[in-house]
Amino acid sequence: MRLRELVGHERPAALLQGSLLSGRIANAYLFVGEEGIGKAAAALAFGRALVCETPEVRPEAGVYEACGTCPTCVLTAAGNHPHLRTIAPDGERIKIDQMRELRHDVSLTAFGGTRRVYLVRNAEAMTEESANCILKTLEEPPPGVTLVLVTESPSQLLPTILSRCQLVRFRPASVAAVEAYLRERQVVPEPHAHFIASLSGGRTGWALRAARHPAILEVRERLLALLAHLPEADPVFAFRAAEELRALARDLTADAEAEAGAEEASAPAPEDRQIRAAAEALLDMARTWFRDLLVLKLAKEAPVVNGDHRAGLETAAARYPLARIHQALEALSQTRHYLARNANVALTLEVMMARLLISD
Amino acid sequence: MKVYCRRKDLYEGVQTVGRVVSGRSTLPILSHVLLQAAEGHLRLVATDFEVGMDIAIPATVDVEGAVTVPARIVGDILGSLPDSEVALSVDENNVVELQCLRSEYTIRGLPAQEFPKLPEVQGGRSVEIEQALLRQLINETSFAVSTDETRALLTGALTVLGDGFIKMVATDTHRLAVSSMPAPGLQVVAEADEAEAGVDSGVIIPARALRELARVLTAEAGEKLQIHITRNQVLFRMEGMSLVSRLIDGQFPNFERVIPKEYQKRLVMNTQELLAALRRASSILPRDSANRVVLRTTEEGLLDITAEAGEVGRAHEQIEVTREGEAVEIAFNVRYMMDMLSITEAESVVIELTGALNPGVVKPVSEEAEGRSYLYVLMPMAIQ
Repeated sequence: MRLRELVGHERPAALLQGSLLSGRIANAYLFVGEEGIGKAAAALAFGRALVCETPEVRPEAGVYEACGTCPTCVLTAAGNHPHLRTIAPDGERIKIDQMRELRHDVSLTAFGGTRRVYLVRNAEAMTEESANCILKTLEEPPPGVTLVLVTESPSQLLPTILSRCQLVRFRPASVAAVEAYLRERQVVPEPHAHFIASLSGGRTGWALRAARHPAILEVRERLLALLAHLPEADPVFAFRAAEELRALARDLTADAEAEAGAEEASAPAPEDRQIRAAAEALLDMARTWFRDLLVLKLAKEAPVVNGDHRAGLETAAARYPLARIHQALEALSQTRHYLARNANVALTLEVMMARLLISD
Repeated sequence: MKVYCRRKDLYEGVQTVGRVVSGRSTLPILSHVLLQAAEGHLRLVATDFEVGMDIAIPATVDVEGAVTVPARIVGDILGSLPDSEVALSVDENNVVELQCLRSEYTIRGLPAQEFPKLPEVQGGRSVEIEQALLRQLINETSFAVSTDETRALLTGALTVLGDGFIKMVATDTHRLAVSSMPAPGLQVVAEADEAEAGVDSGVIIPARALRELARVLTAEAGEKLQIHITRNQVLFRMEGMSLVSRLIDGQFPNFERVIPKEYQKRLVMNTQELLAALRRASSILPRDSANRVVLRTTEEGLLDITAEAGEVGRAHEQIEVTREGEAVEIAFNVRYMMDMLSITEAESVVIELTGALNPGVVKPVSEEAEGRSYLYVLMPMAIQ
C-alpha cells in the first residue's frame, strides 16, 4: 500500500507527502481514526517512504513514496527492517518493557542509513508507565528518528503524549466515496459495489479487500456464524471449528490466487504462507467480533463494527462473561503470534478454538 | 542449498552466534540464524538489531543458497546428535532438512532475503590488537558501566583509538575505570565525510556488545583481531568471525575532569590481602545495604578495615600497608572496591587520596609499557 492509494485519506496523504518532500518531518505523529479505517496502513506507508533508499520523488505532482523494490523496501515489506520498528500491544497492553526497549533502541546509533521510524500501534493500550517512559523520546528524539503513534481513541492517551505529537486525522470515507472508488477500479460487479460499500462503514481498506475477494463476504458470514455458535458449543466443537477455519482460510487463498498479480508485483508466496496469511486475516475478522462483544458489554447502544449482525452479537454478549471476552482477545493475538512463527496451522487453530469456548 | 559440514563445527557456530539471538523479540526473524552456503564454507549470521555476529565454518557446498532457521531449536537438535557429518538442504518453501546418520529432521525456516543485512562498516579508524589485550581492557572497565537506562550515555564504554594506544572508559557516576593498552599501527581513513566526524574522540560501545565480544575473545597470546570504528558502528573482526554493534549516540561526559590530578596521601598494599580482607568483611553486610567499609591507618603501619551492619554485627580486619603522608580515614563502597581488585593481576595496588570527601584513585603497581595504564576512581562515602 502506497500513500496515494489510501482512499478517502487524500488530505492526510498529501500532508505527509508534503512533509516528506520538504524534509520537515515532525519528531512524533499521532494518527487518529476509527478501527479498520487504514491509519495503520498509512503509518506503514509513511514509514516505508521515510526509510526507503531510492524513493519515488516527484515534487511537481506532490509525490514522495517508497520505491517498493530496493533491499530496504523488501525488508520493510516483511516487517524486518531495523529502522522501521513496530510496537504493538503484548496481549492487551503495551508494556513498560516494550517501551524501555524502544527507548534503548532510540539511544543507539543507526544500523545503517539515516532515518529511523518507530510505529506504535494501538497507542491507547500503553500503560501509564509505558507512556511516561517515552515522553522524553517523543519530545526530543535524536536526529533522524520519527515516532508514529496510531490510535482509535486519543482520549485514552495522556495529555503529555498528545501535546508532543503532530495530529493526523483519518476520517471514514463516505459510503458514496467508497462505492465510487470500487466502481472506478472496476474490481467488483456493479450490484455488489453498493452492498460492500455500505457494509464497510467507510472503511475503504476493508471494502477493497471484500471487493477484490468476493469470497471474503461469504467467508465472513460463515466465520461470524461459527463465532455466534460458540457460546452454546460443547468442547468437541473446537476441533470441528478449527477444521472449518482452515477450510475458510483455504477458500480465501483460492480466491486470492484467482486474481493474483493485481496488487504487488512480488513473486507469489508459497502455499503454506498464503494459508497463514489467510488465517491471520480470519483472526482479524474474529477480533472485530470479540471487540464488538466487549463494546456491547460496556455500552449497549454503542455502534459496532459488525452492525449487520447486531442481534447475534447481543445474544452472544449476554452469554459471555467479561473476563472470557478478554481471554478470547488474548487467545487471538497469541495465535497470530504463533502463526507468524511458522507454527503448525491446524494445531494452533485447534488450541485457539478450545480457548474461545465458554465451557471448559 | 545443499551443504555438508561437521556436526561439532555447526553446533559450536550456532551456539556462538545464537548468543546474540534475541529471546524476547516480537520479530520471528530475529530468533533465527541465517545460513549462507557459498565457496566452501557455511556462514552463520545472527542479530538482535543491536549486535550482529557472523561466523564462517568449513563446509562442502554442493548447491549454494541461503535460509534462516530458528536458533534455539536447531541448537538443541545439534547439541544432542552424535559427532558425524551433517547434511543440510532446503526446499522452495524454506523447509530445511537436517540429516545426521540415522537422524532426520525437517525444520521450517524463513526466507533469507527477509533477514536484515548486517551494516557494512567503512571508513573511520581501525587498529589491530592482540585479543588477550582487548579482553583485559574490557575486563578492567566493563564492570563499571552503568545499568541505569535513563542515562543511556553511561550504559556503554567510551572507546578511543588513539595514536599508539586504545583506551576504554566506563563510569556509573559512583566510580570510573580508565584503561589503556598500547596499540601501534592506527589507520585512519580520512574520509572528508561528515559522518565520520568526532570518531577521533571516541565512540560509546554498548555494554552488551562488549560482553558478547569478551566471551569469544581468547586469552592466549598471539591471536589478533581488528577493531574498526565509525560514527555509527564498531566492527571487531577476527579469524572466521566478526561482531558488529551499533553505538550509543551522544557525547560521553568529560571524564578527565573527575580524575584527581594530585594526591596528599598514598597507601600501598598487597592486592590479594586487601581483597581477601574486604571479601570477609563484606560478608556481614546485607546485599541491600550501602555496602560501606571504613579504612583507617594505624600508628603501627597497619590498615584497619571495618564494616558494620546494625542487625548483623561488625567486622574488623587488619592488613599491612605502606603509607606516605598523613593518617587516613575514609569510607568506600566495598563491592566497588572488590570489583576492581578481583580483576587486577598486579601483586600490589596503590590508593591515592586527598581528603575523606575527595575521590580516591586505585591503581595497580607494576612496570608499565608505553601506552599502558589503568586507574580506577572511587567516590568516597560518608563515614558516619
